[in-house]
Amino acid sequence: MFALIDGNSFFASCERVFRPDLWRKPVIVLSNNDGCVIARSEEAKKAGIPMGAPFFKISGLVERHGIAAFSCNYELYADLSARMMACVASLAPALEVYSIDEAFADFSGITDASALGVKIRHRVMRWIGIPACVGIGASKTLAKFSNHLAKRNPRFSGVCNWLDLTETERLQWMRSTSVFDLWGIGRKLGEKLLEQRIRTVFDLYGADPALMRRRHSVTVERIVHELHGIPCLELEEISPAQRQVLRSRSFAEEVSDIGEIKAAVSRHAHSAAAALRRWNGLASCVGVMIRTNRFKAERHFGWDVTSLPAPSSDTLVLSAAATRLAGRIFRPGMKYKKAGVVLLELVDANTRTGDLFNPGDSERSRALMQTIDSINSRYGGEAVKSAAELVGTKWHTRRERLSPRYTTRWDELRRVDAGTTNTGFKEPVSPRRPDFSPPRSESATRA
Amino acid sequence: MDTPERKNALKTADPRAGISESLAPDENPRPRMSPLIDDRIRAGFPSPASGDASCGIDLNEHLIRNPAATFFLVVSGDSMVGEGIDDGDMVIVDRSVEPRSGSIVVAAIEGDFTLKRFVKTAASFELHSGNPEYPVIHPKHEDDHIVGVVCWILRKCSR
Ligand SMILES: [Mg+2]
Repeated sequence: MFALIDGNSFFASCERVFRPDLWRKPVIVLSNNDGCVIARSEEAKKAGIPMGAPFFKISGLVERHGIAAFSCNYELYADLSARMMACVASLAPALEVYSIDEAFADFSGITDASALGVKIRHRVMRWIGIPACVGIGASKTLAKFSNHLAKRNPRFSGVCNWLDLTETERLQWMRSTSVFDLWGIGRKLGEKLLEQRIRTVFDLYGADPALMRRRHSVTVERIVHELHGIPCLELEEISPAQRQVLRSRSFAEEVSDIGEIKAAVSRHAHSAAAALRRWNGLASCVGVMIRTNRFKAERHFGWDVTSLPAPSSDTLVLSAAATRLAGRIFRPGMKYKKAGVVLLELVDANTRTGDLFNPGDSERSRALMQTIDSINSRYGGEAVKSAAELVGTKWHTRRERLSPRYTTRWDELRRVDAGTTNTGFKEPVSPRRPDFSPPRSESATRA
Repeated sequence: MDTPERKNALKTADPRAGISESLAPDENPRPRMSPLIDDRIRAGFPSPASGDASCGIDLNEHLIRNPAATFFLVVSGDSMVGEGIDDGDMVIVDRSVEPRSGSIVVAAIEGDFTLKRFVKTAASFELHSGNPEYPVIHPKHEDDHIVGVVCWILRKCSR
């Protein structure tokens, strides 16, 4: 038995955790460069904001309905996601973190699965402040489908257990749900199924698995079995989220020039990004470390991590982030011996296609990267390099509506008012910066 | 830290898996506020301190019982001076702790966070200030609730 735990309108919900004034209010989150809508609260959906809408086109609606619009604060979302997963893991025996806001849990051997589902939902709300829905079923596909139902039908109160439904109810839900809403059915496959008059989940449920395999693929056959409650997919506890790509190398001679350091870091980012694309992954975070000779008196170990606005495998994006970090941790006067780049929080590019909540790399950048990779594999090594070091310094994204990174930055912590109440909302970040930064950390990372 | 939450939060593969070279830091890594973020960073750049080597006393371990549910906030206003909390103090708030009468809590009242002393009543709860000049708050709005319990107060003494 499986459960799927999924945060509701996750990015929008994250924006609300530290903003109780926004509860029950419409909230949207915008993509990279404040381009288009990538997350909507229920209220924003009701106000008529379409998913993916370009922001400039809906500014009238935003104004009229008093919608709170935010730039994508990926650092905040990633931290709250990690907290949510840890919270679910405190109740679920085994967990597969499937995406930033979804996790499959192994519920086998649990006597009251629905009660555990309710408990998980309450705990995630209580500990993190994120509303989540739980779907439970004999297979991952049914768990995912039940979650879909729980999210859309208030009668489930956030937890839908397929095993608790009567046969009539199950058939009803399957008949009233489009096959496109099923896990694993992308647009292309869905259209092929439509041609064969498979429109609803029920139509696929009634299809002959062997025929589905001949006409389509093993995947479709598997989905049919899973809809009948025969699990074909197992829990993958070591998820892509826990893998990483690391590139580092010692310099031939010690280096004290920031330009050279950045060039090395850019090279590492280049090679790590290529490896990431071979594996068909996207990275959510980039880390950089530089260090001096360990056995000398004047030593420095510098490292820092940054999260990207959206998961990416684009060399330009990754290398720009890496060189920027290198510039931040570099200390003039130090002789560095080694530099390294690590790509973290990896996600599978495949499972993200059609994932509306985060468009990530554009088709154009993906095509460019494929071209670079094929040229490099044909001519060996790094025939094509980006002018990443140059881009790096100029690279910036437009994020005008960025909320504070309440949980990951000392100087962006939420303020709590003790003095007066009922004074309405105050800006969470006070103009007077609280002096809590440990002095040593400052000197260790910023020269 | 040995809470079940912590164990599960760290239910990852060996953080050093797949890394051939050791990138041992020569200085302590920069302290991070969020223990979760810290663990993720350690997963990226292994530090000898994250292995078997003892690293002495760890402030995170001492101050944070449940990393997933623990948040840091900065206090403004002086109504809690009577409770020992001054303007500008930092508070460590654990959302997983059940408030008891007398607990200092962060509450969401009418759409804003407020820091008060929690007092249980027969039907619900009240919020008291450390200063008698401030009125007692009786939650009226349906969304009013306790966000978490203040476990520690941090104040810098020297500049
Ligand atoms: Mg979701």
